[in-house]
Amino acid sequence: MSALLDKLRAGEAPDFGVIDLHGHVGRYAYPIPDLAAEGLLEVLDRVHVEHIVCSHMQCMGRNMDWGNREVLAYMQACPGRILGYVSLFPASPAEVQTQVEQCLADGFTGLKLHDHNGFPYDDPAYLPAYAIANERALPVLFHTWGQDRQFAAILRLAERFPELSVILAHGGSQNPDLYIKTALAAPRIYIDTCFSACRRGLVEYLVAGAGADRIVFGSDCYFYSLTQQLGKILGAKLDDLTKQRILRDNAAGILGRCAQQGE
Amino acid sequence: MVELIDVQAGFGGLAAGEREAVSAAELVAELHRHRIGQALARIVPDGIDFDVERSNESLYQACAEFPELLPCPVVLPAHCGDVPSEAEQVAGAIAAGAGAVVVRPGPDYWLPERWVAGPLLEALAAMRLPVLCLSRLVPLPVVAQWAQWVPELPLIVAEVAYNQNRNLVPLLQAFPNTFLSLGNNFTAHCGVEFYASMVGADRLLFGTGLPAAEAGAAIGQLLYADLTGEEREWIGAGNFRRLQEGIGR
Ligand SMILES: [Zn+2]
Repeated sequence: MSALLDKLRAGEAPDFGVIDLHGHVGRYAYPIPDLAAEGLLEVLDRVHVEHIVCSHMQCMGRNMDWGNREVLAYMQACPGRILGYVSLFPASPAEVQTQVEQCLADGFTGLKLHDHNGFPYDDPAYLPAYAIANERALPVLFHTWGQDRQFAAILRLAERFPELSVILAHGGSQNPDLYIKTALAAPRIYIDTCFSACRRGLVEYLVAGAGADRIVFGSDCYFYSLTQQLGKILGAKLDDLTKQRILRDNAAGILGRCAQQGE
Repeated sequence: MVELIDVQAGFGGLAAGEREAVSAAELVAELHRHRIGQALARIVPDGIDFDVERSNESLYQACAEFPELLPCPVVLPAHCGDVPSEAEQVAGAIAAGAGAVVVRPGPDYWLPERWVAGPLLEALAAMRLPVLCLSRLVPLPVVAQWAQWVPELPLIVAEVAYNQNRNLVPLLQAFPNTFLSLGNNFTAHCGVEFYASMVGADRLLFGTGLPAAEAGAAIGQLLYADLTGEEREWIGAGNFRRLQEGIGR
């Protein structure tokens, strides 16, 4: 029996505040039904999500300054509830460094990188960003889809920048075992749960392989429905303490580390 | 508690590389765990399942053991005389208690053109027996064409990708005999509310994608949506029940 599954089935939110470490805001190529910050806030309130950390929907483009400013507007509309990841384009080390410094000064929480721009995660232009994030023990969310080259680059970075909280997005979308192996290769690598195809048993498999303290909740909202991705965790065959670790405790630890560094 | 009937579920099939099929009992256990009252069940996965009559028979036998399961057999065009006539297939499905049928043009080697599919669609329409149109097997343009040919035949679009809003909204708006299953992997930010406002809550059906998908996902998407209680009841079970009442039994 799971009290959290009962809550889900009754259409009631969890008692504790959920933390969503993988969100997006802004427009995209396919239509998003509600783009308003107030609309997102209303969903967060309805299902008791305390914080969602967001990058822009177009987080792989050249003009990331524009995207990051858009994210900032959402952050300012919902202070403390919508937090921001800085998105980066590896135009040059100097440009990346300026972008990160400026965004962190504006109150962003971490970095989100996407390799659909054609550049590997250990491209030299990204290095100043990792160095700054490492100093502050920030979370860095990497888009991953189970590919060896993605994990190899991320592991090199985790070794070089050991204070980063590294988050592998879309846990188990392909090669679940590779996600588990990568997470276990360094102490601060986490796997997020967002995946549109909510494969039955996948979250349980990741928990069994990597340990409950390495799995964090990500919805990938606006790409996916936050409520659907939340329901997947609440409905999983896991005990309630494990569900709470995934939905809140592990992420609270990650955000707590960077808050401490900032004090 | 909102009553839920799942229009997108199944058991008993194997995908390449799988050694054990999910049994009807395992599907029913998952329904119980999530307190889903009933499911329209077909043989899934269907990748290496080629003898339609035999497969339907095993579906009927398994469903007969569980009152929670309504069979959703496969039907196909009968021009070659290797399977019973279209009208006989439809009558057989209804006699076996089918809540809908599923069609698989590609895997069963037929074209969705009128000169192939016409008699089948007309036999189904005569009895108002809903057709599950899985997007990977019956693409949206085909659904649109069929909806136009047989406007009295309910077509349930299922297994739609999460990024199809631009196509699904006009499809559902243009053809009142089309319905959308909210099962895997339909997912959109505020999507259930959006579709309810754009096409009406009476066109949406609760579905999970069991056993491949975790049912909690579809439950969260529906029960956490900003809808009226009545809309939630319709989508959860009422709309499907209305389709069942329309079948010429
Ligand atoms: Zn993402």
